[in-house]
Parts: sequence; structure tokens; C-alpha cells
Amino acid sequence: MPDEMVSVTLDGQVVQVPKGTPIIEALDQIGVHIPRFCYHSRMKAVGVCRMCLVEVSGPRGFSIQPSCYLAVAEGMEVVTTSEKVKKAQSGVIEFLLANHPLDCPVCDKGGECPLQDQAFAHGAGETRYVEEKRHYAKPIPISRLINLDRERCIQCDRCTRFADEVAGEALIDFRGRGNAIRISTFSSVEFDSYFSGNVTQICPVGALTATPYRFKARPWDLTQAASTCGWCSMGCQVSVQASQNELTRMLGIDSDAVNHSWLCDRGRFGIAEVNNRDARVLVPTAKANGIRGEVSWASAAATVARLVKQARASGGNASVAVIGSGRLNLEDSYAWAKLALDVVGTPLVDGVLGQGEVASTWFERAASIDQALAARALIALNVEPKEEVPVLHLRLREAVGNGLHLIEVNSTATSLSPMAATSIQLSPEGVGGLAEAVAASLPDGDGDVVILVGGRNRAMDPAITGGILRDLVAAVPGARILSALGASNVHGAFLAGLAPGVLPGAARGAVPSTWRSPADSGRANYAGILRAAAAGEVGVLLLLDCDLEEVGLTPEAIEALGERCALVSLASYESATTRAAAVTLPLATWGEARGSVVNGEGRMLRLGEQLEPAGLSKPGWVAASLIAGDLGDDMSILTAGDIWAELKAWGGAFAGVEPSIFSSTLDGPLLPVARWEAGGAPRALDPVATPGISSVSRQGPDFRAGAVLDPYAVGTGAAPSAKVLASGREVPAAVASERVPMELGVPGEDEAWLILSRRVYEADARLAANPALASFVRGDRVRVSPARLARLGASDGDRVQVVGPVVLQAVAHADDAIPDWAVAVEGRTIAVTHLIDGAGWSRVRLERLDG
Amino acid sequence: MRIVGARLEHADSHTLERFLATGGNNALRKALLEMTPEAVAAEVLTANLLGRGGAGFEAGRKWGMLRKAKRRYLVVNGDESEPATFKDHLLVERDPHQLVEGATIAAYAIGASLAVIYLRGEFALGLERVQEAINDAYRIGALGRDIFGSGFSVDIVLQPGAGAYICGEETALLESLEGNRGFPRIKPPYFPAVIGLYGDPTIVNNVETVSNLPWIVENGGEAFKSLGSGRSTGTRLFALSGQVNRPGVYEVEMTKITFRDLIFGEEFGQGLAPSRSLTAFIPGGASSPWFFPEHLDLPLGQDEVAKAGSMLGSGSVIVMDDSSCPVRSAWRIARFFARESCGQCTPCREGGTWIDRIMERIERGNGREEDLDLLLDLCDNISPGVVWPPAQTTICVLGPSIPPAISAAISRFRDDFLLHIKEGRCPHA
Amino acid sequence: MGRFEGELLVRAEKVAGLYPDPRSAIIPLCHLAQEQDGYVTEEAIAHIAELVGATGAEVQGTASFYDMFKFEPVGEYVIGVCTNISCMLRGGYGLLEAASSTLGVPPGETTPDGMFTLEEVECVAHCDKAPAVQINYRYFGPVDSEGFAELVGQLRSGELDGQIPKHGTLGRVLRDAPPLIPVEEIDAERARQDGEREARAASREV
Ligand SMILES: Cc1cc2nc3c(=O)[nH]c(=O)nc-3n(C[C@H](O)[C@H](O)[C@H](O)COP(=O)(O)O)c2cc1C
Ligand code: SF4
Ligand code: FES
Repeated sequence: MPDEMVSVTLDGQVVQVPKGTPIIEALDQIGVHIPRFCYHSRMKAVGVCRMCLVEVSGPRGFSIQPSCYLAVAEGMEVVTTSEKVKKAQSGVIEFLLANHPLDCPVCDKGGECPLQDQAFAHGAGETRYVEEKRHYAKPIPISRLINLDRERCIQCDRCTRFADEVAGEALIDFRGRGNAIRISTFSSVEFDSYFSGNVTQICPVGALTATPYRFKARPWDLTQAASTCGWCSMGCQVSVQASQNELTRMLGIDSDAVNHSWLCDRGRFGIAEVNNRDARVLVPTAKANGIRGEVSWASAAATVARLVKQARASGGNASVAVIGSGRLNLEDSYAWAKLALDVVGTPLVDGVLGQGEVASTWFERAASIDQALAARALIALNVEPKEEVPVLHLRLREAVGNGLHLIEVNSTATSLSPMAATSIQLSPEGVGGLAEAVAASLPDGDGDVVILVGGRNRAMDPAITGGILRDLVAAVPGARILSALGASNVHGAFLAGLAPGVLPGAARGAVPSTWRSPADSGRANYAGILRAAAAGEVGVLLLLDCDLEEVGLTPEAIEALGERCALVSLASYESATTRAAAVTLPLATWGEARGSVVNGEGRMLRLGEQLEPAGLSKPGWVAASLIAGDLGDDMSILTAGDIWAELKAWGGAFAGVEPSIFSSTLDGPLLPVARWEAGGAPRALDPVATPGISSVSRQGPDFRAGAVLDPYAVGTGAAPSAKVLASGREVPAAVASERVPMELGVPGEDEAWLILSRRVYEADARLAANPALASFVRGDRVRVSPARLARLGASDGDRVQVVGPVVLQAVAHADDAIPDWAVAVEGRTIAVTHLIDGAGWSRVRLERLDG
Repeated sequence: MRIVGARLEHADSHTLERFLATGGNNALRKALLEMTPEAVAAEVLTANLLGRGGAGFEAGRKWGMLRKAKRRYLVVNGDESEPATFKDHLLVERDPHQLVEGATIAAYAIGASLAVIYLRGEFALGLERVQEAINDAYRIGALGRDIFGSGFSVDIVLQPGAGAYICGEETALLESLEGNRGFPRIKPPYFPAVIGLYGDPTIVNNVETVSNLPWIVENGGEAFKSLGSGRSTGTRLFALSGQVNRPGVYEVEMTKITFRDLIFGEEFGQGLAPSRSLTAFIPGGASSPWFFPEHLDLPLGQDEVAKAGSMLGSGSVIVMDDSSCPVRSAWRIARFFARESCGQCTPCREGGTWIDRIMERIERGNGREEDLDLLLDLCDNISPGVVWPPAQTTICVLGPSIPPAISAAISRFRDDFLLHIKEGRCPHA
Repeated sequence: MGRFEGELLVRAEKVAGLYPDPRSAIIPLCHLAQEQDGYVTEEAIAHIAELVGATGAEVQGTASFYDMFKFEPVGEYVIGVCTNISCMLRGGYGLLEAASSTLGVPPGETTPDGMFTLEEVECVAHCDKAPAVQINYRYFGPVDSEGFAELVGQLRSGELDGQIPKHGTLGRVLRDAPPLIPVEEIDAERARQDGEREARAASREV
């Protein structure tokens, strides 16, 4: 529906503007920037700072009005240049400065402060205020991440509005009245929100600052680049900032399509782990006689190649296997897919941890976030956005507030439940008939139905979700899918061909000439591969940024696996897996390499680079290329540009992919690129909305000349010849992977199905390496229904043990919200994941601990 | 002529017995049993009953502006906190049944789903009396379900305030009633009659306004209109205070007496202390521009006072004689508004306190000559032009209530200011 | 202490049920908390937040806006001396000074025995009796320094006990009425009546 336009006169200029546009934005559009503090285009206007006053015509002549609050109306006249306006604006600035401390030189906001800037532009320059200034204790921590300096606060209501209106967690609010009004938490209740960092970003002064960033750097020392957050598959757009080869800060960029400028704290403060060199894998290592020793890249790559050759020699191609986590970027994933499928020729490839089946249903019907939020109904399947794709939770809240009809399908209540029109239980007994029940609950009307699918219950094999998803798509014809699958580039890894049953681009056409004859990988997912490895059928297991502890193996099990086969770990962080590996290859991590990722709506997003790779780390595609070289096949990949050329040649999702697509859109193109149309005018950057993002350079995949492989690694540096080995083979049409039976049935009396909910703060190796966030991991907790607890002869608060592949001891809590067939476990340690038994839906036994 | 104060001559005016013995609920019966809601509203429109809360807007017209919606509310504003205003205090303590009757009539006329009487929290006795009156009304079938068998039902809830002047401002009052800080809402769009309590259309009327309704229903709008003159019809309660011999609340027919009568008249204020002379008076509560002896012969009428550059406001007249220090008076008024600023708008929050500090310095003898221009300029930044009625850089007129006192004092008593500055002390202390 | 208990909990739940939105009960509930403890404790704020479905920060944000709510223990009698314009013109500041010396504490403080808290207050709408004094929101005036001392004496001796309850108790008359008619019911009935009247009016016009 086209917006109704009205005609208004802005400073004498007659313009057409969509009805309802705030005057301040209409003025922005004609290049007249009105000073502002409280206004933020992503929140409701409150019109309190009174900085944006202009003269507006009304029934009783011109009057001074807040341009942020008042919307344009037909025939309205606005004057911004009169003496009256200037006086009012400089008056407000003077009032704001009256009580503002003069500590700009030591203030974190100094140099990028809207108050400083606007005082300079609109203030009188000289203070007439000779009275005593307001005094408060300063600064006070309002959480482990946020400091509050009340003296600098200008009461713009942005942080409090954010907490209440955007995050729905009013844990900070004004307190007091009038001149004594101040921001406050309640008593000792911390401002403990996954989204707390946003308030530091939108604070127009230095009142709210991020503890990890305090005194770290001055804005003018920072370099910054546009990038995409590396934590989840939302793909939030960020400016990543660095100083002296250390990441100092991450700010959300206002992407209309994706994150509306917001970030979650896991993403924002994730830079602390990148900086933690102590936790990083810095040099290649190899084990000799059980002892891990540093080796050169050349020797490490050669060792891997030798191991691969040996395995193939004794067990054929299928004795080499690849498991990835979905964290490698698109370029790396592509190179590894090529290495595995084409150079080595193994069919055992799962770079997406079993999520390929969901992804294959998703890709054909991918819905954008905007489409999902504007749908007639959104079906949330096995997903808790707040824990999996946190910023989507914010956008969902807003959409539900605007009337989005939400149907949730989960095993237990989530943060979606209060917003859902219907909640349908996902239980092992009813998996089969679920789709029909969901379809029956759809509201009447036109418009898309979109399914939001995630991996909330980690103890439930993604294949089960995949099965339900297929059923749903069949039951709701035309349904589209927005994916919230885990890991930042799981969708990109899938589309790069690093998943069972797909080839790059999820292409169905001919295999391009740069490939030989890719193996058919549709046989096993990571669980099957691990079973094969445990059975001694795998000679070399290549692990791509994948710590096996995260998928449920204990360190002992990983150790044992390492004795059965050679583990090769391409990794950025030390973990039980790197320690057990025969060869470890240091991987350049987020912020250290350019490239691209694909988010859960199929949007291709750029990754920027701000650091030299730590130690001897290299991008993943370089590692692949080195190993390929040692296998006697250089893969023809010498630059990222080569990868992009190949992607384009594969077609499918990547048909038409060109480096230029990044410059033709602010938000990144939606895949399949061929279907996507660039559109949307660039957003005017509001320096007051996001102070600190100004000189951001837009980086993407590395197409710079000379960005080739290490000369030392390729030996002579001679350009390899492109081999033409086209086979013209048709790619298999459907993804076939292990199917899990849909009728899971009732467990035995003392057995239960495990619910292991994904959490933002999961105690994996990365979080452990993050000094800013490690303390947010919650303690072990076992929740069961009161009835089950009673059957056990235990009561609330008793210690119990959960018995699965491992035994976990913890305090049990009776909770009505947990169905009787389930045991819900939350963990402080990664050990809880070891309860996952890797087949279908994990089953556990609950036992009472006496004494 | 007495309308709202008619019952006050009886010491037990607050009791149900006295109320019923003096015609109580006759109007309510008449309205509910013999008149349609439209007919009641029409009488009020005819009466030209001006709102008694301060802004002086015609009640009938306001009711007519109520947005058509399924749900609507009535809120009676009894937050009375404007300095020197104490007429509602009298009404709620001394004739609470009349208030409840009036509120029920108003609820009927506008078709309210619920009526709330928001009473200033400090009125402990008033809260007891009004609650008693509400309880009485339920008991005798004058409130609740199917009132007097008329088929009309409505409840009244009594809501205490908690000590914040700004909650007298109608949109702040609604915020407060919704459980929030009393932050005024921006008009437009938040005119209560359009978007009020819980977002539904709401009529907010002052206690005295509502207390006039029984008389109007009983005697007709024409009878009310025949009192007073011009737009100022009926009678009004005037609260007289300050340096006058007999402060108090006086009900007088509008426009029929002058300020001189009110301050000096035998039936009213009875003049000033011996050998004192009048220096200034404030005609409509602390926020209205000051008047001086030359204004004494203005009649007590809304338009007459407005034409002379001030307002009748809440009907409170504050008298200052030559023993008092005008600098100190202006400072005390500024200090009040600074303390009562809700804190939303920068000019009011920061400017109010700033002006308070400067005035305090001057009064204490630490003033500088340049402070006078600074004061006027700060006033100008809160209320551009320092004109009347005020232009404003703020959401509500609390902030702009500071400049009238400051500018009046500086323009009329500049010498006093200079004396403070020169002598380094208050010459009146 | 703190959370509502017993009879006060019953009252609290009743109050919360008086409004279409329970958040409207925040102010009355803070008064109730003050009636229980003399001031609004953190426990009470947390309990009110639970009762009305808000966060503690929000309830605190609302409560702290209002002068009548105290967040620290105050005296059994909170004595307010008005110094606003009408009282000031009739000796309000002098009275405040006298009060301060009678009680031996400056405005804003509580006597060591915990009996009295002295406050300078804004206009209490008792201007015809200026200078006015409020004691636990019961009004007195005009009061001079002797009168003030006398009042304090009466308070100490318990003479005013019946007239002035302990701090926090506002109206002692409780709502005594049938449960509120659901607004939806009124809305529906009103719509029906309005419709009937309109139909009648229309038929008259014809
Ligand atoms: C700062 C401020 C304080 C006010 N205080 C009161 C008050 O205490 N009582 C009152 O009835 N109206 C007060 N008003 C006026 C109300 O906003 C509103 O106009 C009035 O209650 C409407 O009732 P009426 O039309 O019956 O006068 C105040 C207005 C402002 C701007
Ligand atoms: S003018 Fe003052 S009281 Fe009125 S809304 Fe603004 S800050 Fe609040
Ligand atoms: S009032 Fe418009 S930006 Fe604050």
C-alpha cells in the first residue's frame, strides 16, 4: 500500500512527504538537520529534551513545537531558521549544559558526543551558569557491564525507553522528580538484560558506558569497519572498532532489514574473547608420541595431507570425514567443501551439525525477517529467539505489539509464550500429528504464513525438527520459512555445500568446470560420522571450528576418539578438541579476516577485518588451499576472488553473485541473488542515534589485489592453471539424510525425555575465554514436574542425578511448567551437553541422591 | 447568591442527613429519571459553566468534544495544589455528597463506564469524607447498579494522590492514575477528551465545576446563566489569602464585585493591617501574572481579568502589602515551580532550578546586577516573549508559570532588586 | 514488615482489583505500605510490583516521584510547616524556624526519639489559616511558635491520638460498596441504551 503523501512547506521549500512522518525526519530528508537528543527513530518519540524545537504553523499561527514529536500534516509550514528557533535551541543547550560536568577530556564519549557537538553548533559558547552543579556519586555500576554517571545524564529517556519499550525489561527507570530525576535500578536488582549494551550506544552523552570499554580508547584513535556480528545467525550489522591491533568496541549499525541498530550483549561484548590471546590457538601444532608441539604451517599442512592420503589408502575416500560447526564464513566453507567433496572425495561431510535437513527445507522457501514479521501468522517451531537469535526477539516484540499473530510450538514455555496467540506443545508423543494441529490454529485471512524454526532443545536431534518442518510445509501450502538455526554462518555453510546432500549454491545444474566430480555427501550427518569414527571406520576426522564438547562428547570421549582416528582441528580457541587433536591449525577468527556470511533469511552479509590474525592464524580457505596443494591439487583457489568466481559459476543461490552486490545495497542481498532486487534508499546516518559510527569503512570479502596466499606456502608462487574437468553430472535433487522416526513414544516409568534449552550464555570454550561475559553463565539446574519429583520420593531442593551418557548431579526444582515426560536441565558447565546421546531425542533417567 | 457553598452554613454539612434534608440527590433523581443524558449536557452547555480548575474552558463544550467510543471515563480533578488555592479543599471536606452527586450526574451525561475522583493525597480528612459519601451513596442506591431504578449504572472510585503539584494538570493526573509518574502528555494528540485514561476518551473536570452540576440540573442552565455576565456565569468560589485581614473562601456572583470589594469589602477581606498599603496582588493563583493597585477596580470576571493581562485561574487571590519583600515573594513562587517540575522538559527542569538559585542569591544579598537581565533571558527561554498567555518551549505550562512572577517583580520592583544587590541583604528582613 | 500480610494483604488485593488496569493501584498500594510500616520499604515495593505486574524499578520510579512517600523510616508524626507564598506572607518561615528549635532538629530530620520528623512543605491548601501546619496530613492553623510548642506537647501526651493516627494512615474510612461492575458490562448496557434512545429519537423525527 503506497503511503499517503502530504504537501508541506519546510523552510520555504514545498515537499511531498508520507503522512505521519515526524517533522524532524521530513527535514532530514531535505538535508536540514535539527539538533536532537531524546529522539531516536527506532523508539516512540517522547518530545522531552526540547532540543528540536522549530516553528510550526497551526490554527492559531506559528508556535514553537518539538519537530520530533509532531507529524507533518497537509499544508503545514515549518520554519527552522528564525531567530525565535535559534534562541529556543540555544536556550535548551544552555540549560542542558548548566548542570553538565566539564569532564569531556576524561569522558568515554568525548570526541563523539552529541551534546559536545551540538553545544558547539548551537550553543552560546560561554557559560552564564555560576551556581553549584548537581552532584551525584560517580560512576556507579548498574550491572556487570554498564556504568552510570548520573552527573552527565541529560534525562533524555532513551535508555529507559529502550529497556521498557524495546527490550520489555523495565529494569532501569527514572527515579525522583524534577531537578532530582535520575536513572536508577531497583535496590540491588542488577540491570541484567541480554540487551543492556544498547543503552551505552544510544546514550547521547557519557552517562552510560560499557565497563569493558571504559578508558580503553579515544574515538579518534579508533579505526572502524562495517561487519556482521559473528555470534548467531541473525546477522546483525555492526561497526567493529579497533585500536592498536585490539578490538575495542562494537556498535550496532541501523540496518533496516536486520537489526535496527540493536545488538545483544553476547554479540557486542564478544570482542573480549577475540582479544584474549591466552585462550587462542596461535600456532600450528602436531602431536608426536602423544606430545603436542609447535610446527610450521607448511609442516602442519603436509602432515594433514599425509594423514588424509594414508586414510584413503587404507579405507577409501569415506575414511576421511569433515565436521564443522557452521561458524566458518562463506569463503572458508566453500573452500573446505571443495577440498572435502572434490579433492578428497569423501561423502562424510557435515559442516552444519545436523541442521542441514532443516536448512534444505528452509532454503527453497526462505522468508526475510521483514516478511516474517508482516505475516498473517508466524509459527515459531522449537525456537526461543531471545536465547538463539536475541535481536530477533526485539523485532518480534515490536511486531507482536503491532498485531503479529504468533503461534508457538515448543516443549515448555519460552519468552514467546506471553506474546503467543496459541501455544502448542511439542512432545515426543505427538510429533506425528503436530503439523495438522498447528495448521488448524491458523487465523483466517490473506497473507503469508511464515515458520520461524530454530534449535531450541539441544537434546532433540535437528532431524526431528526437520521432519516436523517438512510436515508443516505440507500442511500449510505456501508457507515460508525464516531460520534461526544456530551458529553465525550455518546457512552460508549449507549453501557453500558443506552439508550433507548439497553442493555449492544448493545448485541443481551442471557441476562447473572448476570442479572434478564431487562426492555424494547425502549419507550421514555429524552424529552418523561420529558413530562411524567411534566404530573405527574413519581414519581422519577434520574438525572445522568445531569443539566436540559442544555436541555432547566429554573430554574423555574426545580423547578416546583421538586414539581411534586422527583428529585435525582447525580452530581459533583452545578446547578439549584442540588438546586431543593430532594436528591443530590456528584459524583467523572474527574481526581478523574479511569475507561474508549468510544469515537465517538468506541475506549475504559482509565481514570486516580490523586485526592482524593472532599469532600464525590464517583464514580457513587458506588452510584448505594449503592442504589441497599438499594433496597435489591446488583447487585453483588463490584469492577470495577465485572463490566468488566459482560461487557464481555454481549458480543456484549464487547465480549472478558479483562483488558489486555489496555496494548496491546497504543491507546485503538476499539469496538467491538472481531473484533478489536491490531497492530502498540509503538511510540518512543519524549521528545522534548512534554516536560513534561515523567513519565506518565498508569492508567485505577480500578482493584487494595482492591478497593472495602466502608465497612461502605455495612455493614458487606460480599461477596454477585452471583445470577443466567438467563432468556435467546432475546434482541429486533431494537431500537424503538419516531420518528419525516421528513417533517417539512414551519413555519408561523412570525415564524422561531431555530438554536442554539453548541459552545465550552457554559455557563453551569461547565464553570461558571472555572475561566480560563468563560470569553470566547460570548455575546447574534440573527442573521437573512436581508429580515426577513426588514419584521419585524427592522434594523441591533435593539433590538428584540425571543419568544419560554421563551422570549429572544437581539440585532439583519442582516446576509446573515442565511436562511430566520431561526433565529440563540448565547448565553452568558444558558438561550438561554430555547428556545428549546423539540419537533422536535424548532420553535420561532421574535418580534421587540420598543424604 | 450561593450555589456550591449553599450547604456550608450548616456545621454538619458533610453528613448524609444534612445533605438529604437540604435537597440532596433531587437533581440526580431528576437527571436520571426525567432527563436524557443529552438533555443534561444541553443544560450544562446553556449554563456556560466555565471550568473552575484554572483554564476556564466551558464544561458543556468540553463534553461535546468527547470522542465517540464505546468506553469513556470521567475523572474529577481534586488535586488542588496551586499555591493559595483552597476552595476544593473546603468543598470535599464540607460537602462531599454534593461532589458525589455532581460526579454521578456528569457520569450520566457523558455515559462514563467508570468515574474516578482523584483527590490530593494530603487531604486526609477529605479522603475520609468523600469515601464516606461514596459509601453512603451506594447504600442509598444513588451509586452502583441501576441507580434509583433508572437503569443507569456507574461506579465511583476514590483515588488518592501522593504529593505532586503537577498531577493537577489533567494529563499528568491521568498518568498518575495509571500508576506512573505524573509526566504531562503532549497535546495534541493527548487531549483527554480524545485520548485519555487508558487511551480512552475521558472528561476531566474540577471538583468545583462538578459540584455546580446538581444546582444546574435542578434550576436549569438558563437560571445559572442569568447570574454573572458575559461568559462568566453563575457564582464562583474565590480563595483570598495573604496579607489581608480576613482570608477565606467567598462565593460570589461572577463579575458583580471587584478585586477592591473582595480585598477591602466588609463581607470579604476587610482590608489590610493598619497603616499598610497594597503593593501587589495575584488574581488567579501563583502562576498568574501579578496585578497592582491600579487593577483593583476590575470585576471578578474571566474575560475582564484576561483582558487586563492576567487570569482568574483557580480563583485564588493573594494579597501583598508593603511590609513584604516582592523579591522574596517572586522567589518563593519560582522556587515552588522549580520544586514541582516533573523533570521531563529541559527548560523547566533546568531553568526552574537555575532561576530559583539566582533569586535565592539576590534575596540573600549575593546578587549581581547582570542577574536581572539573565533572569529575564532565562524566562524568555522557557516562555518565549514572556507574554501572556504564555508561549512555551515546554510540554505543559508549569515551566512557563515561573516567568510571570519574575517579570512582574523585576519590572515593577526593579529598585527593590537593586537595593538587595547594593546593600547585600534584603531590605525587608 | 515490608510485604503485605493478613488484613493488609486482603485490602491490597481489593485495591488492586478496583481498576481496569491493576497498575493504577500503585499509588494507593504505596499508601497502604506506608500505613503498615510508616514508610515504603523495598520489600513493599517488590510486593507491589508483583501485585500489579510491574518491575521494582517501575514501582520505585512512580513512588519516588511523589513527596508523600518516604523511603526511610520517619517519625511517628511527620510535621509539615508550609512556607509557600500565602503562609510566607504570614510568617511561615518564622514558624519553621520556631518548629525547628522546638523539636531540636532542622527541617528534613527526625528527632532522636523517633517521634517527629519536621518538613518544610509546599502549599497545603489551608491558606486562610496561615501559617499552616500539617501533622500526618491533619491540618492546623494559624499556628504561632507557642501554638506549635503546645501542639507538640499534646502529641507527646497523646491528647491528639484520636484525631491524628500514626504516620502513613490516610483515610480511615474504607471503601464499603459492592464489587465494581465490570466496565465491559457497563459498556454493553450503555451501548444498548444509547441505541434505544437514538432509535426513539429517529422515530420521533419521522
Ligand atoms: C500545572 C497545572 C496544575 C493544575 N492543577 C490543577 C488542580 O490542582 N486542580 C484542577 O482542577 N485543575 C488543575 N489544572 C487544570 C487542569 O489541567 C484541567 O484544566 C482542569 O482540571 C479541568 O477541569 P475544569 O475544566 O473543570 O476546570 C492544572 C493545570 C496545570 C497546567
Ligand atoms: S513544563 Fe515542566 S512540569 Fe510541564 S511537562 Fe515540562 S518539565 Fe514537566
Ligand atoms: S524533544 Fe525532540 S529530540 Fe528531544
